[in-house]
Amino acid sequence: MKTLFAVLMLISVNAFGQGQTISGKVLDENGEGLPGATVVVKGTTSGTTTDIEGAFRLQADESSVLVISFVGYEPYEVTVGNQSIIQTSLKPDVSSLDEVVVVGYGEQTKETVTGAIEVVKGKEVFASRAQTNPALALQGQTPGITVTRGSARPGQEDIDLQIRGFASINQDPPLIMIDNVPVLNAREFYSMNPDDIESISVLKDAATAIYGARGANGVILVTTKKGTRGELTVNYNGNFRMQSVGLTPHAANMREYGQLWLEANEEMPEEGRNYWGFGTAEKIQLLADGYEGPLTDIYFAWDGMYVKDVDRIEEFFGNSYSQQHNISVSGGNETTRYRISGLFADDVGALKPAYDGQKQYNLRFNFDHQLSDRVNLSSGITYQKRRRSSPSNGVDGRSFQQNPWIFPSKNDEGQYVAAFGVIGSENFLASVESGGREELDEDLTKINLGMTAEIVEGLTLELTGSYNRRVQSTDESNIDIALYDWDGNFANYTSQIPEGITDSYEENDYLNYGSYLNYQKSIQGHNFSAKVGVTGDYFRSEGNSITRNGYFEDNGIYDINIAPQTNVQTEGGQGQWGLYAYLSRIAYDYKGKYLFDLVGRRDVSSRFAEGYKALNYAGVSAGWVISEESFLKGASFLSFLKIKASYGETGNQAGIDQFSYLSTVAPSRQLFGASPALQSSASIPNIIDPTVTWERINMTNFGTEFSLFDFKLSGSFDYYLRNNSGMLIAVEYGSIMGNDGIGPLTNSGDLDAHGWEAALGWKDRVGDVTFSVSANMSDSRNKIVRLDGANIPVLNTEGINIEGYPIGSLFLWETDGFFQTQEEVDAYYSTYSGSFPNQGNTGLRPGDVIKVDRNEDGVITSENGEDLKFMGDLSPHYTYGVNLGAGWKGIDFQVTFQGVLDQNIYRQEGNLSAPFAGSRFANQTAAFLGKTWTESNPSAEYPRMTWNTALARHNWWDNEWFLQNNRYMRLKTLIVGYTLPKSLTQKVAIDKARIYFSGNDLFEFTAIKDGYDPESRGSSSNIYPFMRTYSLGIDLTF
Amino acid sequence: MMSCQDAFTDLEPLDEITDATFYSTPAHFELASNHLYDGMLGWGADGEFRDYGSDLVSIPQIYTQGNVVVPETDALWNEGYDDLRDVNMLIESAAEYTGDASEIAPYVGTAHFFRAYEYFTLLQRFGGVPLITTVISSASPDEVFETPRSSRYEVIGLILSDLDEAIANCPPSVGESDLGKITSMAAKAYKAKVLLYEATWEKYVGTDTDGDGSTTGAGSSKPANYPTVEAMLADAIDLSKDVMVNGGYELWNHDFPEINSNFFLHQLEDGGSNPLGLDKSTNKEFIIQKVYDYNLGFGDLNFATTESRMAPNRKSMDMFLCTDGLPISKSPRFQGYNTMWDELQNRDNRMVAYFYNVPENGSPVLNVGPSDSGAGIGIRNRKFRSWNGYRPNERQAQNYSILRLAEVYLTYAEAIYELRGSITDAELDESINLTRARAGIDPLSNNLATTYDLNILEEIRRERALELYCENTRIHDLKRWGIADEVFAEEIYGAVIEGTVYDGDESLYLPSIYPFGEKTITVGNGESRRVVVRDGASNRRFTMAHYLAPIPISQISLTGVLQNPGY
Repeated sequence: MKTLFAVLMLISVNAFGQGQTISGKVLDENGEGLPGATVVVKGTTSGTTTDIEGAFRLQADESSVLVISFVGYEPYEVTVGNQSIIQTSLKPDVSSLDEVVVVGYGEQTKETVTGAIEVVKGKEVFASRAQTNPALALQGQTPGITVTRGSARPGQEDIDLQIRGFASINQDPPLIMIDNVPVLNAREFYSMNPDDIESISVLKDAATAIYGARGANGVILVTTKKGTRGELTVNYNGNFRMQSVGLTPHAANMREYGQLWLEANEEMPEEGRNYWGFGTAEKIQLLADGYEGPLTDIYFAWDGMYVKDVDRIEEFFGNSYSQQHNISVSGGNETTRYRISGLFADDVGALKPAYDGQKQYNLRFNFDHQLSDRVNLSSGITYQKRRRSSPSNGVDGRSFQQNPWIFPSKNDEGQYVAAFGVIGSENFLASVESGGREELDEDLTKINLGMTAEIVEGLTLELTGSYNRRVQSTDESNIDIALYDWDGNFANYTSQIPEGITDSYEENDYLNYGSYLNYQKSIQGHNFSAKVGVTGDYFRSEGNSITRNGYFEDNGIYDINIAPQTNVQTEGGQGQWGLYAYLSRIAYDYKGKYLFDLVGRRDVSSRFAEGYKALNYAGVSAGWVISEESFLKGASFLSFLKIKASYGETGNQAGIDQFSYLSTVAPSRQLFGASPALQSSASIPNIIDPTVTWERINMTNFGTEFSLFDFKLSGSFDYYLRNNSGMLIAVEYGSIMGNDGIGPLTNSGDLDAHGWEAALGWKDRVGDVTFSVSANMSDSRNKIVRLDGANIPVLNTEGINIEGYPIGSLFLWETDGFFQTQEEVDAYYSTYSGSFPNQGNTGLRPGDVIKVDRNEDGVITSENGEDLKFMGDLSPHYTYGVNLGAGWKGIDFQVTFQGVLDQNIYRQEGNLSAPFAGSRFANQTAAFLGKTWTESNPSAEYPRMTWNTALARHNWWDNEWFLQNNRYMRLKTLIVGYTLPKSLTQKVAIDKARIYFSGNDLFEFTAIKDGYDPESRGSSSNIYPFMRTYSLGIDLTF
Repeated sequence: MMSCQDAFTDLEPLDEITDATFYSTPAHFELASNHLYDGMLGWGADGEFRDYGSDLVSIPQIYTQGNVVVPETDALWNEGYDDLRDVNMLIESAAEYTGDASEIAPYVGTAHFFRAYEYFTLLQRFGGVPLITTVISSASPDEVFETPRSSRYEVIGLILSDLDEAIANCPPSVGESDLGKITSMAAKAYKAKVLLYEATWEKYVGTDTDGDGSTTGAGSSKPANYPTVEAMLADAIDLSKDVMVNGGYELWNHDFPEINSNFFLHQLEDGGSNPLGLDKSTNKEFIIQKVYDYNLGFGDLNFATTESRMAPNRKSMDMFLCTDGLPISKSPRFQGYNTMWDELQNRDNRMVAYFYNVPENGSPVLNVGPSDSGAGIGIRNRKFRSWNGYRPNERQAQNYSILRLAEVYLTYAEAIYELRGSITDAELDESINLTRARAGIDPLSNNLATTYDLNILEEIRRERALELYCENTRIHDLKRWGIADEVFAEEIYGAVIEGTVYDGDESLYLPSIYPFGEKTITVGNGESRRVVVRDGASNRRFTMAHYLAPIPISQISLTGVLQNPGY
């Protein structure tokens, strides 16, 4: 390594100018040497960077002025004079106003930005996070960007990224660009090495108009780390993680399951009791008592079934161990900079019986070369590979919902036991362990090339090209497994998995070109810059899939060749789209005080019919740095104050298929023949409208940024209004049209939205202790102003779009507590008719929910919507993050809390949401056991228990009272690190050594009552547990 | 610059063809006509199409209980018009076809058959519906979307003329590899079915369900030249006879060592599906059928559920004749109710073909909760269940019969009786006595009827109920006979308790688990006995209004069609 340093030093020396030799040292605020600082002789191109010790040597005249600068520090100028040794310590730049911010097709300083832009710095957010996926590390970091995940399964997180909430009922993720090239899909970002991220800019307002038809959902600009001029630096960062099971739903164990059935019968009239195949209360009592053994004298087909209290979550999930390693090598000289990095990560899910996880391998190589004074070349090569491996069966919510937890998965001989056909005889352990595997491989290779050439002073030509190729293959095997009874006899059941092997393959090619002209000019404080250019995108995909169905011998080999050829199904498919755009950006400012920015774009797309292909977009913004005005210069407490506003139009192409404007022939097949064989058939199923075009969204933003008390207190606030006109919806016609009456997508809806974001932070230093506190919060509200055809509220709990209400609105029955007496029930029956159970054994009784007749017409019905109550939407509101940081000598400390103050959750889908409402022939939730209405507990929080599904649904489903508020606060991240003293580490040639503890999701406060994780959204099927992560890591720089 | 842009934005689909050139060759018409078979009923259809909840099965369903809620949408309404869109597209394209019309005639004939088939399915469910005979789209004028419901007579008019087109254009027969495709014989048989249905509906139900057409229902407007009931019946007889004589169909009847043909016919797959190794090519009985295959496309149904949903009840058990052709109230061969085994002795062998779980010389256990598994009768259904578990529950692949020769016999006999009020022995012998013979019961004759005071119409209807048990006929039949409101209002009974092995034996039968308890009724042999009540009178509220299903709310608000009377 030392020889390498020496070589690089020599290269640096060659670049030195003439004059006397000056040596020096640049120190940071702690008196430690600052490596990588730039030392330039003012007015020349000669200069150098400091070495690992912070030392430098260069040739300079006595009259020379050295400019010493380093990112994050205030630049320092010193005249050489007669000094031959110069030692200086740089002051941290607390204002960060000069920080360069990447904006749409350009860069600005933080001071002159006029758009609503958030910047996330890689070293602050991604360093030492025990999190392979960078999107998850963004949770709680910046206001206005909401990151939610639907699952904790590695590689299947089902991430939802949203900037400023809904821009449309057709929501796409934000446009994500890495080094100014759009990603192939959001997964490319999720799979990138977080250690490669230098910074992320989040464009929230109409500054995204320069991205035209893809700008409506916000834009995320990721900038990767480049090499820095100077010594070769090697960095290793790795961590080992232990994950433990976090919150899990309260699925009933056998005792609780028995109790549920008993209570569900006790609360029924004697004639209305039902013990299912168990036959009698006595048999159920055995379950409630924790009996283990065969059940006899029950329903004949079940007779002799062996029952036992099992904890299926415990059986399926437990601690898992993951790891992640990054290594990077970077360096450079006057003309060349490079950085090579690699990542290996093994993220293992919580599943115990079989491996369920994802291995990820990343390589990135960034190389920049200055060909001449006028010409710069840049390149970047990325390779991302992930291999996800999981059981192909048994890991869905059914595993926990279907069978009650009374069936041991294996008998004493280790054979899989049938659940006696109770719920279709499935054995989910058998499915997970032996039911086949799904192996997914995804490889992504991307090459970026760029050149900038200065034509005349101030005018540069920029050319970029990018090629992105993604290949994904999936091998899925499915194996049917024989099931046995407790005594080891074949139970006449199998796990009912249709056997076979599917091999599918997909490849995408994506090209992106750009050519731009940039012009910059400054005259007496008037700064002017402009950019014009064209950019083209072309995407092509091709895929195929082969399935061979039927029995094959399980030898541990799951290639397609193993499966029989008798029943083969194949599928192909190709697609393409293209986008061509003309764009421009003009920026002007006067002395950094009055700021203007104008962007425009014309998008032309292959997705529309001739005559509808092109549309223009534009945005304008302005800012005023009031603190630069002379009348405020005296206000010493005010360090910085800017107000800004922007307006612009963008488009949204979510929901627009590649060729939806064309009517096409759909091939199909039908069976005919005495020896049945498939014959080809075809139809023209789609109803089209060739006039369809992009949704058009305009956004107005007002914002302010300020810093007080010498930049110790900083904050920002933005308010925005957004309007989507021509929202794409499929208008519903009479079904006599065919296609279920669903028309083609047409621009037939309008949406209004507004919202705000606020951030406030304090950073300070007391003695040796540095600390910072910051908090951010945002909210977004919307209302559908027009949605042709959809204006009658419909009962639902999953969010519906109705004119006049927000996207994803809930309409529920208004309820008025529970009946307390039979008289109340009788009076109810004599007064009302409609949607509630008929009188009789399974009719309403005390303890049941009272639905309110809101329109007072005597009929309780969802029909015209008048009896339904609007209960808000399902979007998270007041999402927030709180970040705390502190440092003392070598110790650093960082905490992030993240949460939501107000969000509706209605958990209705599935069997583990409300007792006996999903299906009584399934497992049940025990979360409400003992809290339900009984005669002796008339003030209970929950209605009476009943086995009758219709009654249970009346009580629990679609009702106002069962709406939960998903308010929560979660300790997202806790990092404690210790950097070993340099004096110690340098003895072993280590420049920096830091060890750290990093934890994720360590605890939470949640208002959820049924035990589910607050991040699991409204689903009850999503059983895969969210995990708590504890990791130990080490960060070494050589 | 522009050409550069075009390279990105002037793209064509890479994996599909556009409609511009479709319907230009006979091959295209064949492809399109093949697709229409997708709209046929099959195993995946709603339980109502397997007669779940009829008066003959043990487990009640809310529909026949008269507990019908007007729905937001109706899958059958939507699917019907989805399919009709394809049908109309083929017929419209044929009108514009410039080639030799005879080359596309069979496909056009098939399309006409399917237009009749789809409208008849809609008619049976809703009565008169809007008649759409062209392809409409979102760009069609508003008036098209406001098409009112045509009366049932107008719908029948279109169905009959479409079937005439099918009869004229479809080939008389198809080769083995095209089994399942519509022939002119199939269209004739189907037309006979439609005619009998509508003639008896008009005779027994009349206009009671029509509504006035201005505030409710589809009204009673009859097209010019609409056939009389008698003409429809006469036509049904002629068509049936034509199919019986010239169709080339035959009852599937083989000498099985165990059970009998009435069992194996309904799970006929490949040679493994029965002990004689017979496969689908031996089946000359099915006339209209949806073809399934274990490997290429199996039935989308958990067939295990048919075991309980189709379990018989007291009424159907008592309905089967003794081998002498007499009802159990009149036959000396009936062995009484002591055990269920006794009930099965000397009876119609379809009892054994359809049902199982009766222990030798004993009775099945009834001790299971009322809503499950054929409880209350103990017997389970096996018609449609794979022989000895040859196929897994959800992967059976026998063909689904929409119309088979046995029904043609039944149509023939019923139409004759309805038209003339009598039927000759010869006519009985060439029709329903053939299915009775397969079931091991002696023939019906006018002499037998006179001797034992049997009502021949009742006997024809009985044979229809039992031969076509759970084949999407019973609920429709009761309605067209105008008795569904009486029959579905009756309670449902299970096993006979009094004077049987169940009485007092708690290991076989626990009275406490039956919410409706027991009741003394007159059972099939004429005696008064206590039986288990499966569904009590308080649950039976089927009325004339329920003969037709409600029009879904969404369609009323979208197109202004009128709701059926009574909803």
